Amino acid sequence: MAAALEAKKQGIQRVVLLERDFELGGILPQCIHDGFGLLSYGESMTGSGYAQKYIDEIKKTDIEVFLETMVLEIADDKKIYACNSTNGIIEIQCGAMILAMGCRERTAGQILLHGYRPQGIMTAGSVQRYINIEGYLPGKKAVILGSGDIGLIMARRMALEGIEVKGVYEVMPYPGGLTRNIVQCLQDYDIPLHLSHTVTRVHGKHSMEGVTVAELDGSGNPVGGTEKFIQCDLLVLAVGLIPENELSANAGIELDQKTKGPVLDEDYMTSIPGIFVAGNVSVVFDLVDYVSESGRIAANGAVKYLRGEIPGDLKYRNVNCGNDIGFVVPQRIKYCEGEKNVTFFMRVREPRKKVTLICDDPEHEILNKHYQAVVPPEMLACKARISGMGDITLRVEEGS
Amino acid sequence: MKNTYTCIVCPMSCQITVEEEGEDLAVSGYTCKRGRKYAVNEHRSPKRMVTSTVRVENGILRRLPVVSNAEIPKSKMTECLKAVYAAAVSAPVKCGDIVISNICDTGVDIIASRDIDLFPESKKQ
Amino acid sequence: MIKIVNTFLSDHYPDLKITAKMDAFNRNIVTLSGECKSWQQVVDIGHSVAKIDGIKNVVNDLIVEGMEIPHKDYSPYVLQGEKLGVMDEADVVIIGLGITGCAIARTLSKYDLKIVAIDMGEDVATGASKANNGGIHHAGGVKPGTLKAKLSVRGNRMYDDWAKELNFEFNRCGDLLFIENEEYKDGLYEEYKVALENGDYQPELVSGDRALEIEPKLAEYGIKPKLALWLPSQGRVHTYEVAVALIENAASNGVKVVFDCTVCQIYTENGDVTGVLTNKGLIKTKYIINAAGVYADEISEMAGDRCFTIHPRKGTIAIMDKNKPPMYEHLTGHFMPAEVQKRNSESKGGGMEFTPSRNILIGPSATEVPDKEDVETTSEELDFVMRINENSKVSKADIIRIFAGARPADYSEDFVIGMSPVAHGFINAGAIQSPGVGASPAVAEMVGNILLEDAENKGFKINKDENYNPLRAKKVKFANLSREEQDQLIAERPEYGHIICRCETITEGEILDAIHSPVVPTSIDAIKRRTRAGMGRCQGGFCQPRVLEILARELGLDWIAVNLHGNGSNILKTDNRQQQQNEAGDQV
Repeated sequence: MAAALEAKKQGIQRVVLLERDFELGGILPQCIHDGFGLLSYGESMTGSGYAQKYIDEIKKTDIEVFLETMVLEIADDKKIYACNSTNGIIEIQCGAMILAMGCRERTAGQILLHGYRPQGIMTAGSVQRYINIEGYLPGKKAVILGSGDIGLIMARRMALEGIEVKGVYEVMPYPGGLTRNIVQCLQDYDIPLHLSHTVTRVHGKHSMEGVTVAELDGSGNPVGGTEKFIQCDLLVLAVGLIPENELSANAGIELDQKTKGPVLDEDYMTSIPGIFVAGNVSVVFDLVDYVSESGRIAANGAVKYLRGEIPGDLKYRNVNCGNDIGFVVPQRIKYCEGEKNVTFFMRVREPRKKVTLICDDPEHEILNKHYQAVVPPEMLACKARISGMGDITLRVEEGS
Repeated sequence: MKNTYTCIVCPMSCQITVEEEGEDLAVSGYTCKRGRKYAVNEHRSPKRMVTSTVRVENGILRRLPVVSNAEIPKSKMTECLKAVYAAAVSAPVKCGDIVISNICDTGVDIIASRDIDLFPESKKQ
Repeated sequence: MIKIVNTFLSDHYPDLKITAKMDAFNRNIVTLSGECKSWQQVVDIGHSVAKIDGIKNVVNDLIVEGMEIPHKDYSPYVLQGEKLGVMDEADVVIIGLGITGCAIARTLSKYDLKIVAIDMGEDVATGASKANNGGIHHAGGVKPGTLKAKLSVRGNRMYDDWAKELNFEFNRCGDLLFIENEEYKDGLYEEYKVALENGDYQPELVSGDRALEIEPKLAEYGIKPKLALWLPSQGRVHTYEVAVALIENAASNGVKVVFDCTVCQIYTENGDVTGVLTNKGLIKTKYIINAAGVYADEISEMAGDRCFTIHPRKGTIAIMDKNKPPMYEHLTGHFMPAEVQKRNSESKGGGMEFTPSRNILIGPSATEVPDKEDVETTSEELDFVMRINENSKVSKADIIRIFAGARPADYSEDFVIGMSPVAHGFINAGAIQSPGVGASPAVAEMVGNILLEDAENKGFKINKDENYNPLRAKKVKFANLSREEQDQLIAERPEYGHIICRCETITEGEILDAIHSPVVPTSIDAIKRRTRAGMGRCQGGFCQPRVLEILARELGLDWIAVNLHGNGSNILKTDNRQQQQNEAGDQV
């Protein structure tokens, strides 16, 4: 929505927004908790409220919105095939395209969850949809696997709705979500957090009877003798978001294994000129304000492209990250004369205290920022002024 | 009375202890002013936002997400939620509409957190 | 005969007290009882006695010291059923609607017979038939002289007609087993000889060059085959799709299908079958066909005929993401003798397989388990099947789902098909393990012949049904159509323009087609089996709520009533405001 509004603002005549659901907003309408929009609006709103603001703005424009419309294919030359019940197969020749498909959730099969396969195994997003949008409870006693923000938010949500949340289990030795959520979602409700633990077995041939949890050693293997059976009828999987890049991959767009999203430059343009990405499909952001910002950056890039301001033969400077950094976007910057402002988004691999983030190229130091503490769940967003030619490196060092 | 609070202000997540000494508070474990302020506030008057859903009649959706327009005392959460669960609204609803005013005498309103349109006649079976 | 058995037992298991009894009907079936040290020992003894020259089969009552082996308790079903009285009257009752039962139902629907086909599950193919890898096997890996070999070869040939008439996806891909050095040459020759002996369709030992012609992709992988065995009869199906196609055609031709129907007793009078008691009541009938999978031995026992015992053999399979396509066009792989893969040589373990949908399937494993309902996956089983993986591009990271099923194997490791001498009218079609899927047309034909012959001998003629229609209309598969075809389809029926399953591109129209079909699916998994909705990489994350909504709407159900795979597996437990509304109301 942010991309569409920005493109319109920049004077693009025909802006078409294709959405597979029956309403706009993506995942936001089911995010009824607050904490959204702090950076953009200076107030903490709910996800649904944040989305409503954008929906209201879209309604004021002549942006063409197609709902319950699924894009089937991104074909050559920026042609799209989509379909819906009213128009049948829709073929659109795009001048430029912005992909904003968001993420899907990691499944039980992908985490090699063993045991039976009864009713009662559900991803956190599905539980969230059933409770918040549809108004039903999928269980009475729950165990949550994964302590990322989604898992923590759902722990509170379920507890408030009368579901007994027996505990949150996390494979890593540190939590996957923000401390704010540990306090307000777990501690507030006396829900225990078990770090370095996992679910090793699911019980129940037909419907879930419970799970076995076990402690993990340093190598991530279950420690014999630590197994415990926990009775529950719902296992909530909050084990990771995967950017939904099926269309991108099929179109031949180059993907970054670290982000699971397309390789992008500072305009959020992919390896196919004229195709841009925005939001969680490019990288899993933690603040919705960054998501909207990426939409605006991509839209501006698309506008530049449509006006012929992006050169045909593109030369890039790579943005490399040291071992302490899990990923960074953008992964490359276009060569250009003069200076430009770029915001780098990255996450560290492990929690660290008292570190310095250094960003430099062979000739300049670009950034030197000290942090009291950095943790994987909290994305680092750093604005930098880039000039010059060589590859850029981002790394984390001890001390100030 | 002595309590320990995990500070949520920054990723340091300091464990801050607040101990009552008569009228005063002894606070330890923080590394910055904001942390100290947070812990004292958590101790004296912990407050939380209320976010939940309310039953909707005749809408395109069955549930309306609602949010409090300010934080309420943590101690009143259960009571307030009971009121939210008992409430119902009729579509159409506009984002910002007051669903429950001055919930449980807190001075805080519970407001609609999105629009919900009326279920179209044409789609009724 | 009994002396030979007792000698064998005392020779090989001197420290165990095992009693052997011979079958009362002189069928050379031994019943063993006593105590063993482990479940594996129970199975081993059963197998070794079954292998004794002259022994037809084994009924194995051996128990394990200190282990409680779970047994199904039928008494609650009996109580329920008896209360309900007569439920129906039929000429034939078919018990069990896996691939075997469905095949029999369709074959018998050709005739003027009142057929009631029942299953304890909420849909067809809820047992081994949904958990296997869908191979329509060649005959190089099945023991010559067995009934299963004979029926496999015959059934394999019948699949083309089946696929044409019933319109299910059938890929006769062929199997190419190659060797790159002399090491397993003897094993390869053995398998070729076995295929020939079994009468397999045109098996061929081919040179390395010919192998490269058949499968050009081998060269891409730098493989230099020296010799290969080409088995063109090998095919692939989605077994559950075949079962659905069969039962829909059977139902269109008048077969009555009842789900959630568990048989708990069989009645006979003067040695003739008179009826079947289920949890839904009594069905009076002349003929009973027992295709009850892992429970077939128990059903036979209800008819008074203990002539085989099922020892479930669990197989685990991993399915890979479609974005990792199969390495080859055909089922191609290094030939490796069974002993080398350390599998039970009686059983068919698998290799790198792929489905008609082009998902790579790795497995199955083969592990003897005491519990018939044990379909748990374990990390050990998964590690075992992943060892079969030859594709360097594929790893555990590509797994989208792991599942397991229980093969209904008996101790003769062969099919048990025949009219019982104890209960006339009771026909066994049991112990159908691999190659059961490929054999099913021939199994159904054999069972049909047994029934027809018996009826004729007894003096009542069974006529062909004049209205029998072997054809089942082709189902719409939106994802396979051209853009023009898709557009036209949506213009005719807008529901085909509403995509429900994003990963597999399945439309609401296809789901509605599945629901409004001769055998109505009522669960999320039943819809999955018919449409593939939920079989993609997100495993129902996106589509499940939408499928649930459609099911509830079309079947007139409350959302809370919709289940995943049968009674007791409801997805949603309560409406989250109804309770509170009631509580608030109570306070007023």
